[in-house]
Amino acid sequence: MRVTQSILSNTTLFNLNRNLSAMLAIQEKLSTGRDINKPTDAPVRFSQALTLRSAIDVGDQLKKNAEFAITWLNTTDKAISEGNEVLQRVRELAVRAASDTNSSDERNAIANEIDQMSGHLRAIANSDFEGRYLFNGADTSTKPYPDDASDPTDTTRMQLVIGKAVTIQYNTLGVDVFGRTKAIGSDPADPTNVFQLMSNLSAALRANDQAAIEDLIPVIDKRQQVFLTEQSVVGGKVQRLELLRQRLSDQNVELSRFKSETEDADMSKLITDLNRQDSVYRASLAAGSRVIQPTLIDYLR
Amino acid sequence: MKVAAASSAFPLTLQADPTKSSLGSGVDVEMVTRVRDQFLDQQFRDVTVKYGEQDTFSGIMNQIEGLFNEPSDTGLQKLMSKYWEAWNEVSKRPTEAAARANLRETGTAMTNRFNEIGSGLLKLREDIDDRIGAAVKDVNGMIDQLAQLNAQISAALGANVQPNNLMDQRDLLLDKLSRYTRLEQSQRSDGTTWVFIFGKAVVQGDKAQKLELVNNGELSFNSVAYDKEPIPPAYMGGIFKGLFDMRDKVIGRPVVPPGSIQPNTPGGLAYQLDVLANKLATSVNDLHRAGSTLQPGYGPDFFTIDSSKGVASQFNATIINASNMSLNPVFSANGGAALDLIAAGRAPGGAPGSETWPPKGDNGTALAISQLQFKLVTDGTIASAVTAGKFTAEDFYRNVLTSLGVQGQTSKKLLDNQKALLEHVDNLRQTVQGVNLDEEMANMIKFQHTYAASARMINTFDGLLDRVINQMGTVGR
Repeated sequence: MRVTQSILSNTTLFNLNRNLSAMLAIQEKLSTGRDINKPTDAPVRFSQALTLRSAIDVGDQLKKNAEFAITWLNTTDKAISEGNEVLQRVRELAVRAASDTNSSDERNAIANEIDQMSGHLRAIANSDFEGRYLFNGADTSTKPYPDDASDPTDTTRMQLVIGKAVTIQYNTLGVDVFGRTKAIGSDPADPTNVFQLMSNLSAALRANDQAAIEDLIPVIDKRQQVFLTEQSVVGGKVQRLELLRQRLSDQNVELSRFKSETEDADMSKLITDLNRQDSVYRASLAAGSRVIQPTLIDYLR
Repeated sequence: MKVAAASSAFPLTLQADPTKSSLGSGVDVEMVTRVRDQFLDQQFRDVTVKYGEQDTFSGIMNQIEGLFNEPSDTGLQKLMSKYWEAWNEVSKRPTEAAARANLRETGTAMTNRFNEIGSGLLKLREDIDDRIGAAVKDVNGMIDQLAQLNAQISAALGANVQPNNLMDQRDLLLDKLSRYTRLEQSQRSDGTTWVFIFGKAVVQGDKAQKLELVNNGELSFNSVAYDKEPIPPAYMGGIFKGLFDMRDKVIGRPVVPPGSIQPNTPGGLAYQLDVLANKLATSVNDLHRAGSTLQPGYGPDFFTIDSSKGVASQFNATIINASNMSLNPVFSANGGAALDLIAAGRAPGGAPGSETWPPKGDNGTALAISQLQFKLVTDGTIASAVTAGKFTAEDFYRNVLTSLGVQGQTSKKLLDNQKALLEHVDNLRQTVQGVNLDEEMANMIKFQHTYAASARMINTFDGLLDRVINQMGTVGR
């Protein structure tokens, strides 16, 4: 092949350019710390990186949802178990009052205590989370059991997304725990609702009606049973959500690691590459300086 | 490189028989011809056409990628994630103003990003159209020059002068022209080169027939035409094809309302982004309009068209698309009640006019909208052409970008190949036509020595004659 000066200079320039753009690519990766900076860098891995980023976001969001539900359910659980303790005390008092040995004075005293407890139960039924009433369905800004017992409580089951196409009901309906105080739609009021029960008990005590008191004890038992059932439902949900949260946490750690593997730059490899590329560039510069300059002219005198 | 064609001049004859002995009188330079390999020239130009195409394509691809800026924490995907998360937050705390305000802000951030990308793409198309116009001007300038050069060359040849410099200029112009478009050429006996594009003569001897811009039926966009007849970009290749492909295929037409121009390239980026924006907006709007606000009342449209946004010249938008999508301004109106208009509550019961509104704390609609994140965007008329494969909004977005990446990568690889090939062919060409200084110097020394030797020869003759004339016999003195 006949080699001419322009071939030498063209080739030198071409190779210098190629080396420079290789260095530019390495530099971009080094300075961003990422192996993929645009779709064309590696389309398949790019798509993977976007998928992983999205999955991590979704995981975070579902975890936040689960945590919210867990806090809500724990608050509910505490309220119901407190209610249960109150009912336990009510039952003890009722059993004591039902014995023959009590005078009407003593029964009146017990009735006073029962009235206090009724107020306590009402307060529990009106407990809230972040200012929102726990037991009033969707109507979270209204007291479900005001003192005059005027309003029926709302029965909306509040849902929350905890997975793709998976929702969970996180609220507990007041009517399910405390009993229906008033008719709602076609559902009649429940005569054994906890507030009715308390006022019936109080009335029976004041009337010194031993038989009526005795009749009320199994009703108390039944209500207590309802409390326990609801509490176990809540507990079951908490357990399920705790598992979900744990799984989402683990999953996100794994996904983040995978994302980093997919899109983050391997620094040590890049720096090695840069050094190698740098020496190639220097070599081609040196070669260029030797190849371009000398011609026969330089050696003729 | 140019080579002198020399022939010995008519010799001075010492004797009657010129074959016996003659004294040369030197050489005549008859003409200086250029050393070129026409085949390599053609090959160089063929590669240049492809190089011009990929170079243009890759350059614009870079711009598009910059527009999307993915993967990043400010890209559209992240903003969509945040938007869905905001709906989740509202579904958890439907009555809380902070959650609603957060939804408004993330919604605005998302629509702004859609707008930036959407109108950025449309702006880019207009820029590309401008570049097509500029390229036509460049090409026409070259066509003019070629015709002029042809005229000068044939005139010079007529006067028996070899116009090598002009021919060099002409070859250089043809090299430059082939970056823009594929071309054919034919050498005529009068020394002119005729140039054809798409089989149409643009340079005929000293006559130039320039390319034109004709409206291609879409807004003010142009096609390149010869004598009013559009030339298919696929034929032209070069920079033109790169520009046309980008404008009409990769970015392509945006979604246009029915009754107006129908999209001819539904696979384009602008179209797909519009579909995404439109499906996202309408599916949210449908649920939102049926939901209950805190007022109470039915929700307004969540997303609306902001006619001040978008690129007005593109088309008169009557549907929500990427560049005009906007959050309903009622949510940003002054006064605390604006945020109450976000319909988080479930659809009311009862007939219209006598609805029973759900309690304020209801989250039915917020819940349903937040679940759209995992639902497929398949239904509807606009999307059906594009989203035959079933995608969620994010999948869809990701697929659009990935296929863009594949196109870009292919083009980048092609470009690298063309670059190397161009270098190779050019070197081959230089092998033939380039000047090797060593060679020239060596030749110069050779001729110098020949010259010295000739001088020596004359010296010897001089001595001989001196002897004969001046030193032999003194008779005549």
